[in-house]
Amino acid sequence: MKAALDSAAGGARRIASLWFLSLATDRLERAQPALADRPLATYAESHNALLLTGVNRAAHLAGLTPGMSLANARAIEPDVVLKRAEPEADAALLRKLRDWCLRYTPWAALDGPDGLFLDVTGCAHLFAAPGGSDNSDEEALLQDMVERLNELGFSLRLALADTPLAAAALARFGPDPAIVQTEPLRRALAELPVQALRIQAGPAEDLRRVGLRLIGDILPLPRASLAARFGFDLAQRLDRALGDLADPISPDPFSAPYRVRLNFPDPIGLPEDIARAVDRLLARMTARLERDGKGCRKLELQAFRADGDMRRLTVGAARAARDPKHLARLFAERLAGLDPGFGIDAMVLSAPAVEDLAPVQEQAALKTDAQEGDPVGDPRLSLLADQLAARLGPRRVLRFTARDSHCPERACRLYPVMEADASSHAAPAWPAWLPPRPPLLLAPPEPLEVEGGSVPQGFRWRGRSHIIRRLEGPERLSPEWWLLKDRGQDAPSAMSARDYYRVEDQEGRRFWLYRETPATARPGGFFGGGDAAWRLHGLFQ
Amino acid sequence: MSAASTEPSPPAYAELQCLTNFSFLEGASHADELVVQAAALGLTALGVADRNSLAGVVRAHSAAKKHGLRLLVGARLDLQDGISLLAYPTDRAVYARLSRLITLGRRRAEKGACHLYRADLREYAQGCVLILLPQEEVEDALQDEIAFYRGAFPGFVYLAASHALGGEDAARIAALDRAARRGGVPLVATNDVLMHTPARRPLADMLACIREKVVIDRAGWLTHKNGERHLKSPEAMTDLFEAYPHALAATVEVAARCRFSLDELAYEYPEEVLEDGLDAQASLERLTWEGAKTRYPGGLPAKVRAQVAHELRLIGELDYAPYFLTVQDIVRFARSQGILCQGRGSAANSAVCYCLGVTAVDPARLDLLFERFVSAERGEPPDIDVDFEHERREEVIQYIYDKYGRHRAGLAATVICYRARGAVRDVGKAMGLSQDVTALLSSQIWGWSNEGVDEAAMAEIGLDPRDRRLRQTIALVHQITGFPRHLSQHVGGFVITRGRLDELCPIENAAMADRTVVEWDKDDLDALGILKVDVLALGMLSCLRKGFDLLRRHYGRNYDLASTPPADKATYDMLCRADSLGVFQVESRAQMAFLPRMKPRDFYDLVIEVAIVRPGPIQGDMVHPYLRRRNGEEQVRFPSKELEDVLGKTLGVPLFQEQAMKIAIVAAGFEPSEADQLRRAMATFRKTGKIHEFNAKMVEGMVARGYERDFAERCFRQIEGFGEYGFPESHAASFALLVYVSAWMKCHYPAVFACALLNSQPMGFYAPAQIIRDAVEHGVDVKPIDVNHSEWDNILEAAPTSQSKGGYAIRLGFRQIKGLSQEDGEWIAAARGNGYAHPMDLWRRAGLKKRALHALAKSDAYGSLGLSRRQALWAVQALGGDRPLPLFEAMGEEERGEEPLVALPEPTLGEEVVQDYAHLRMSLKAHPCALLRDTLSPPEPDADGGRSGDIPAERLVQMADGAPVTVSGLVLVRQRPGSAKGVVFATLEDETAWSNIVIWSDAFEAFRRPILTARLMRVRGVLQRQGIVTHVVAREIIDISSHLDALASGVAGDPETRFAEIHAHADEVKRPVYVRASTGDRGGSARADKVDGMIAPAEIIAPDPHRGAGYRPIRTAAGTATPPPPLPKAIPRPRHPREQAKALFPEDPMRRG
Amino acid sequence: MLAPVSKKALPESLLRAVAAIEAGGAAGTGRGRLTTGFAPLDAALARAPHGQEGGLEKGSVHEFLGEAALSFLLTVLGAQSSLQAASQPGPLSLLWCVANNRRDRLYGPGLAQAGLDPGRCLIAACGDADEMLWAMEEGLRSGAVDAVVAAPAKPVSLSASRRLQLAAEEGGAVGLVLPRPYGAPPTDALLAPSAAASRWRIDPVARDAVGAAESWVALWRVSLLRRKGGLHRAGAKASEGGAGWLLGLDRRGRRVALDRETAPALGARS
Repeated sequence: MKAALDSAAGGARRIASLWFLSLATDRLERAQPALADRPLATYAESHNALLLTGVNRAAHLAGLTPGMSLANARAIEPDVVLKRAEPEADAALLRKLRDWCLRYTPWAALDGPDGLFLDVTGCAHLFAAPGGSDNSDEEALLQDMVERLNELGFSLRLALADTPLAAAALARFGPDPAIVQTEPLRRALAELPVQALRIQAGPAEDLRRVGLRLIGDILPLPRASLAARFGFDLAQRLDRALGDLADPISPDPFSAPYRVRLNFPDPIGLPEDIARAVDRLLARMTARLERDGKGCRKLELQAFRADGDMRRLTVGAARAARDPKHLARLFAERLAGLDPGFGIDAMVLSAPAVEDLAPVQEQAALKTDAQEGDPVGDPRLSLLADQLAARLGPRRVLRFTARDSHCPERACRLYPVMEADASSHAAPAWPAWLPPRPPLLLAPPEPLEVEGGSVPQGFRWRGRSHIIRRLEGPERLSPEWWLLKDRGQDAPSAMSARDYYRVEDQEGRRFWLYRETPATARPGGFFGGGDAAWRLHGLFQ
Repeated sequence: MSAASTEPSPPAYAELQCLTNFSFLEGASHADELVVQAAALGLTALGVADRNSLAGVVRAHSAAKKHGLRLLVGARLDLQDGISLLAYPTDRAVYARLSRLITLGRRRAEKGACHLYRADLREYAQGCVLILLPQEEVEDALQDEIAFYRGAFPGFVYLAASHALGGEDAARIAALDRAARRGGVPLVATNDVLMHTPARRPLADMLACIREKVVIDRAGWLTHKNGERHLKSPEAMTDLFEAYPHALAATVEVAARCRFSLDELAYEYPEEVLEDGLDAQASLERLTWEGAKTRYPGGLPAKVRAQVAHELRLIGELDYAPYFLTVQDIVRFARSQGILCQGRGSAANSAVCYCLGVTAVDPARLDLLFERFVSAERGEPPDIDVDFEHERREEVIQYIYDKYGRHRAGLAATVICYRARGAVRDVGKAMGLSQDVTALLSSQIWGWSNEGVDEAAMAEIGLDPRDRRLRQTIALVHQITGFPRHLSQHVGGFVITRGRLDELCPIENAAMADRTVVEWDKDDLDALGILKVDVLALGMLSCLRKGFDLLRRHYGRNYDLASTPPADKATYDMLCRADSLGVFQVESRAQMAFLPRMKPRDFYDLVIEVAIVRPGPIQGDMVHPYLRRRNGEEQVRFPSKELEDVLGKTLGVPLFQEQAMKIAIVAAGFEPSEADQLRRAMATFRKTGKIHEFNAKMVEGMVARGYERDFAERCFRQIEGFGEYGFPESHAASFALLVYVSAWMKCHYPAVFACALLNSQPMGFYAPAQIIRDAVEHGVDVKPIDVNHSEWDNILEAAPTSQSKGGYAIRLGFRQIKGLSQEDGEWIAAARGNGYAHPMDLWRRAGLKKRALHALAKSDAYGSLGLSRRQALWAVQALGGDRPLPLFEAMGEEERGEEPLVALPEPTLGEEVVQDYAHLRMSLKAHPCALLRDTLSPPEPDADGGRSGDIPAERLVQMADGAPVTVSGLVLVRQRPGSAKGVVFATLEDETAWSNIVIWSDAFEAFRRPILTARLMRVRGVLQRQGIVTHVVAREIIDISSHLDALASGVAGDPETRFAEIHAHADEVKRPVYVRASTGDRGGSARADKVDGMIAPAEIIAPDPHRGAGYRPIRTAAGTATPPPPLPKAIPRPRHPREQAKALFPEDPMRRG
Repeated sequence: MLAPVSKKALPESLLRAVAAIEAGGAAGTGRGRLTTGFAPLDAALARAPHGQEGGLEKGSVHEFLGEAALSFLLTVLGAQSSLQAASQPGPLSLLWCVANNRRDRLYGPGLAQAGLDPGRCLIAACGDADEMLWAMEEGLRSGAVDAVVAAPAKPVSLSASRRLQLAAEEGGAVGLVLPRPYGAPPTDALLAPSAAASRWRIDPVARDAVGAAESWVALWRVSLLRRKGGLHRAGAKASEGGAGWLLGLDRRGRRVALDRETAPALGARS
């Protein structure tokens, strides 16, 4: 790839710089076209303040600029629509734009968070207007880019020059659109402010202070004097912009999806054949995964049937995996459900969710001790979980996490192992100091008939009578007021609490009961209230 | 149950474990709430024991007295090496030891913490009832603890047991009971209270969240599982401790044993101040009569003599002599050190204080009744506050510590309480609201209000008032507002005792080094009748002292506060013209507007001037009636004969605090003690809102006595206003003297005054730029900062050839340069010798670092070296490191070789001015508006003759009332006073004058953006005149800051380019183009925005008078605060002589000079 | 010929693997045992008289009937878990196979208080009996967990129990089956044939019934109904169909066996 670029640089290279000046808001507007007419800005937290990061045209016209605080923005333009910035989404979009630009040249590279470089050396004639000059070819090329990208909903500025730095400078600071040939490059750059060289803010400010505002102001100065005052970097950037110093751009490799395909000369239908095909697909897939140091959390198998129908099977893994045997086992449970119809003539296996998986981690499957940060803790448990989930379904294999809450129902969460993510292993420890809790909890708690007055003497549950022989408690648990939904319950006095008791019956069975304590009960009184509702919430056997 | 029949007596219970909200961010109720609840529940007694603190006990004590509840004063001691326990002293001596114990723990820890050990208790806790607080698990360790305490404090130890409905209480209490029996100590029931009702559970949870800095949704076990830790009735406690009646009986027993009450703390004045062989009264009399001789060298007027004698008699009767002596001693020390000071406060303007030198207001000039300030019926200490120069007050404070010792003198605390704004911030954060929402919520709280946020206001800012979280947040904000957050030091209230102070109240370290603070605040001290002397700082005193020094040095005139020529006509003339920039108290815009209407002609006019333009009289609508009466437009009449005595001096209009009180007594029938409560309520109005209780009483009382309801309500409103800032007459008189003296100095020695004012910054309303400009307008020459001429301070330079008024010009000092340290500035002057020829000389001789050389260059301080700002910067930018190599410097230069001469682009005047503003916040070269004048006011009027450009502000005075005008100028101040809701005031400055802009709320809404962001503003509106005050009422506001950017970019000189540039700028609007900082610099550019004049919302919410014409170009890409590149540290470098000097003279000889 | 290798020279991971094999994790007769935490019970279950290691045999399936089976099993598993946590492999890992539609659900805090690490418990919510048996087999065979606990709605059939036993032998894990209808087990369940290595009956005991001290949390009457190979402890007379113990857990978490002398009331019951 580098060789290709270098060879291109042998002659005069022509680099186009594309600057998407409102990428974030363009992305939002494309998703919600209604936003386009309203002032729209994105914001992010920076140094404990919320600052705008991007604005659309309407917002810009209203006077909003990136870097402005959210409060100021609201004061200036109360109607502004504010959205949290999503740099990852922007980056993904920019990558898509990069790929889209491959129509012009194979050499397209990302330039910062909102720019692209295209090496269009020798590409312009493809877009030539009949009988036009080189220059007009290039203009036609740029015109084409602008029109198409505008149509797609992107605002951009772009420039074409002999060096990436010059092109980027002209795109951001120059006339629009700027197409600059080698000869006037010096002159074109001279008109731009020194910041266009992408120097640090400090040196730029220092330059401005001594009156050196434009690149043209510093071009005639001795490089040594400049370097001594404003850093070597400045001198070097001048050279790079002018093309005196090579400045290669390197297009990022495609992040192609993990996808393997198998075509059958004759449609297959026998379960053994299908299983073998899956094995072969898995072997190729896992080889690729291994090469890239990845493992998959999800695999999708598409079976293209001869009748034109397509069937899909998806399996998940509790942790990134790439052991073909293990993955095959996951499929084995499901393949029986795959109806081949009149035969399958092609299968595609893709891995839509991959994660980094170091070779060491894979070997850890042999170890028995728990892994830090692993959602299940023990890799062997993960494998078992995958297998169980393949038959029972991904939502049927569960695991506990603790939650810091006094509310019994909320103190423990059961969630599908397949859905484990980074947040689930940051769970708190199980508290050791809680009063005894039963190993079985009834969900929902079941109503009881309780005999006796304020102190219960016995109760009936599921048709059986229990005489209370022992009673410990109460443990009064008040509701978590910040979670209350009901408006009427804003006032804490309107909340009712639960009084939990551990009771033992005449046979030694132990139960966890509670009584709803009405809010109207005498403060501090807890053996009163005849109309209290009793519930059974847990069993200790 | 069966026992009930044999024991019919009602259950008795005393709660002994109770935290107030002085266990900061833990206790969820105020002390008085707890006391009221305890009394209502019929508890035998309430024991208040905060964590390692007695800070909340005085409030509890006062409340308990009021509600007839027995209070036990104690502390919960959390030890570093054992379980916690409650300590309740049984008598005064034991209390003293407990107080010393807490002092010990607090003094050895950092501020706010307390480190105590079991060994300390052995020494100090004898005589205290000690209640051990077992931890969750009852284990063997507890048995050891019990054994230890029982051995060390036989008969005084109890073991606490609580029943908090935790689930295992029965088993736990049973275990504790066994442990107690085995250890031979009684079990005592407590409820471990931290709130007065269970309804406070959300607040208690919230406090925990704030304390631990977590969001409520993640607080988990930090929250309370139930709300049982509230005060419970004896019946409820009997239910809980049915099986342990002895534990309940023990509470009553402890209450009976601990008879100590805070009432037993008798305050005793210190004795040091007595003259040899004389008692306090005799000492005071001798000093007073001696002082009288000095004050009245021509002989004591009979009237004054009589007054002094009268006052001394009264002081003798009330036994206040030691207090006056103490104050006199402090003032005498300050005088001996040449520190300017002046007393004020209720007792200050007495003849005795004048004779003692505490005040400088001649009682002959005033007619104040001493009884009004010191009276037998109030039965509280007299009040004298002494103001000192703000820069030297610390010397006075350290003198007091030295003289009385830290065990006898300490600063009073100030309880920092949650205000609405802080409450919104903390609660909002803990409730998980986004910063954005929290900011919105608090943006609705103007200034220091207690009002919180109402629903309509919420809807207005786009928040859903029905949102549950928001409602809870607001409810909690209301509850938490007024809660103490932490203790801080009072600005200067000193407590001095005869015996050990730490036996009166625990003392702790303050945040500032060398300061110690008692745990009680001024109200607490008041409540217990403990003496306090306020040692306060006042910037104007620094300014005047510096002014007097300059007068002495340059003019040979010797003046002080008392000897400034009185009744000077020129001075009063100047004040009548509202020419009062920099003059104490009367320099604000409101005062300047008032002066020409008030037309002060004598000293008492100034007293009224100071008192009248205050929120109190304004809120009470007293200003206009007074003026009308004074100008003879309205007849002076009194609502009644009795009020004529009270209000005679102020033409029937109550202006002073004591007049309001007197009205309450004579007109509304208040008892003097009630009037006193009213006065207290005034002072603490914002904290408690108690004053409303008095509303009905006062208004109805006055109506019943035949006063008009309208007058009664105005009187009351005024009293409410005093809660904000009310002046007693004596305060006003002391301040009026400073008004007079500063005005006199400004009038006759403008250069001296401006110089002294500049050297005392920051203070007052105006920024250096305005002070300098005002001086220039008064004919004073001001010379720029120059490395070869300036000192750190601004100085007077003889200017015999120039026209400068008074023969002296002001040479600006290095202190005006942002980012230059005082040490550097002083070294430049000290190492100057025969002058510097090259910036390198400063590097070498003064040992300045690169950063300082840069700051000087940016401030254009190398003028005498023939270097322009740019040339100087170019020169210093070439310096490699921070320090020269004295031995090899020549070689280093040779190696580098002579640099080719570089021609830097010549700056335009506009650029120079903008750079001046950027680095000095002002320019002596020109005003930006002068450079832009042709643009702002095109020479030829428009063809249609309608709008003829902006008029210079100085011409506003010639325009007719109601004339349409257009003005423009730099935005100096934007204010949105809380008292004038919706109105924004702005002050613009052009090269000729200021213009005052009034923006009504509809205009504000319409032009929100230019109002908030413009640095250079154009206002179209209507001129409005009141007396000699003119405003422009804005109809249209235009942001023309782009002109400034054009100036800064150096193209303003040439109209062609300028307009091209401005058009280009306007063009930007068509197509969004803006220069972004690269990703790596986002933070930097954000900072730069703030520095460069992005208007922070705070500016408009809480106007900051210190902000001057902070014009700085907005388009600069980076902040000026770019840190210098890191230096290689490894190379050892020879020490600069300056470093050696510092090593030799750590005291820094330069400072002394 | 291999020279004897000093164990010190081996890397720790290998040592651990060796230890695991020595402990009987792999196939063969040398399997370890799951301690119950109750000394008399462990002793009775030891392979040899007065053998050092006693407890439930690993690599086999055990059935627990009776109302208090769950709380007793938890106590047993908790004991083993703490033992393991203190030594090499870390706390017990478990697979619980439960019916998907039950209203009484396993509760993490309760398991944690029993001494288990709920984080290492995998729950398989099974739709029907077949799924549950399949899940148990998978778990037992996988070698991934120390024990598989299942609470089927009906007793496990003989053929199914054979398959479970085989899977357990293959994977080396302990299978614990506790059919869980509410109430005392019916007779046919007690008598049903099974390939399980042992069958137990656990009943709750009222504290009053034995005059137990206040500090008791739980008391169980534990009866061993059947065991492959019989008991090695001579003293344990199978009086009424099997050996019996009165066991309890006190508030401090101590596991104590009460003998019949201190609990005369026990003999009178059942």
